[in-house]
Amino acid sequence: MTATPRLIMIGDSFSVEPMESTDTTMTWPRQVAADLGLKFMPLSQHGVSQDWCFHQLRTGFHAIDQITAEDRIVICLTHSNRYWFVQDEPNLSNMHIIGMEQYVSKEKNKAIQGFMQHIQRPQLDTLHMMMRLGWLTSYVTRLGLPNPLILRCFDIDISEAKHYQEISWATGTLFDIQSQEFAETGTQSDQYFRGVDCRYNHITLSNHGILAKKIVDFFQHNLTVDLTQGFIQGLILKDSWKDTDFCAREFDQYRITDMHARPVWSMSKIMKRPSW
Amino acid sequence: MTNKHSTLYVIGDSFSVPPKAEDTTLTWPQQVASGLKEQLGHTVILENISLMGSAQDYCWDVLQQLLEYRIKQDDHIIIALTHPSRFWYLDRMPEMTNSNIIDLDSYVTKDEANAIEYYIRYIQRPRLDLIHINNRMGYLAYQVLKKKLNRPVIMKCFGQDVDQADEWAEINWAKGVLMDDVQQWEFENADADRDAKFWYGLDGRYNHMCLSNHKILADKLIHSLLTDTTPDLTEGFVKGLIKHNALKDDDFVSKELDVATVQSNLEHRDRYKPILPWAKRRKIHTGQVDK
Repeated sequence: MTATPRLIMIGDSFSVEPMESTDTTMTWPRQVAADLGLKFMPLSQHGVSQDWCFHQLRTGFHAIDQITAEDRIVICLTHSNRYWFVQDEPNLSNMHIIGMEQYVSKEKNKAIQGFMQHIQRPQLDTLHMMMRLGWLTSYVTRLGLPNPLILRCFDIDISEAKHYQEISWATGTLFDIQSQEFAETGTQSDQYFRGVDCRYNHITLSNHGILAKKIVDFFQHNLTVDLTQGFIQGLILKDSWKDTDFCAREFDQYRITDMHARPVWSMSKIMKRPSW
Repeated sequence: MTNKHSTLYVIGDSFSVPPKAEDTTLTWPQQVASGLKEQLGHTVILENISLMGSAQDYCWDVLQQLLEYRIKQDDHIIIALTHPSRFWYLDRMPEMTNSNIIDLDSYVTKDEANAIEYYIRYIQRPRLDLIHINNRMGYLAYQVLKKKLNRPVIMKCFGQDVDQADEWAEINWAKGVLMDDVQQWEFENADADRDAKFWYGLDGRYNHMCLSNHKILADKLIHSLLTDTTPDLTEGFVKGLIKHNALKDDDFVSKELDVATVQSNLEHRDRYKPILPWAKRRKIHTGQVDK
């Protein structure tokens, strides 16, 4: 039996599925799967760490329906400073999560704060990331898999890993696409959207199509994915969130509704997604 | 003898750390380098970068730099793999990783001690440790494969589960464990309180082994490196050679132990007071449960 080849998508909010399960919007991961004729296997979650993402891959390499050479892997590499603090709450890896104490016990919250203040440091984060990437290349080599495509969500130094022949890196970062969508330089999406970014994957839908095309071109024509150019910039104006047509065209409607319903700047509920 | 030379890199914790600078005793890493030199017919330089009390992260940080800039195809690597629950908490103190260190809290600030304690209690867990071990092994396996290096030998210092170990054909795993299969059987009474009865502080052996067993271990490792076969730590070592009055036997001490450490321990014997390790005083249990 030959299973349908899959697009395995692993990462954080830059590649997560829409919040509402009934939402059929063609986000960039869905578009890539459709254009390549692959079965879409979305494994991204909001706020997760690299450890959690690579654990999904590890499970995928050993599962009954294990990853094969016919599948395609896209990893949206989140920041290396995120840490999988709580086993059953992988979403809580991000130091920027507001009101962490709502989700974990007082003791765990204190542990996370202490870790971040006294133990965590870029050198250690980078070391752990290099080990993950080495582990990945080892598996790709052994299993004879095509190169996974890695898109950096944030500007993190990947050091010697950028020379690994078993990984295809996109140039630039997804964060740059999202920040350049604001017409006013320096606008923070958290402030603009009152706590929860109303864009799908932090990108307006116009740019989803552009990103999807670049990724399809990579898989079909081996073209390097360039995140530094070709995207629409400055399309979110100061009052765009009041523009119903613009919102309908570019944003997640459920989130826009949610944002309007929230009187104060706050965090909305964290949605859990299935893992491998 | 030709002009050719290679390097033996030894990386690990107290099970492989070199003697003090002024001590000329030939411990197992030096014996392995000498044995390789004899068998290979060329100079073998020993680079022992082991550090007492270090964590796996520290070892791999060193290894990463060596792999990037120095280790070549003819070189050999031996890793004494410490326990995965050790964590390189503070950049300035890579040797302060083990919560069983008796006076850990006297070397760090109160805030740092609290952060370490809370990390162990509420964040650290075997499942996370295991993920990190597998990442380190995968990284090493990849480097060995890509750079066509000799297979590194890894000896487990402590019992630990590396669930993907068999998958890394690029790594030569020793059979057995240094702690469980070698060091503890050196005592005539394996159940004795070693610290209170023998050491009064630091372990008086080099690398937690009597020198007779250094020679045996070195021979096994030389054979393993030259033939690319699995070294067996579960048999062939001398057992029960540390008798109850071992420290009063000058011949035994000079032949088998680190004389300076033993003498220092004995001199401070009167002042020795059994102190519970920091973790036990704080009732912290490391690496035991997933939470």
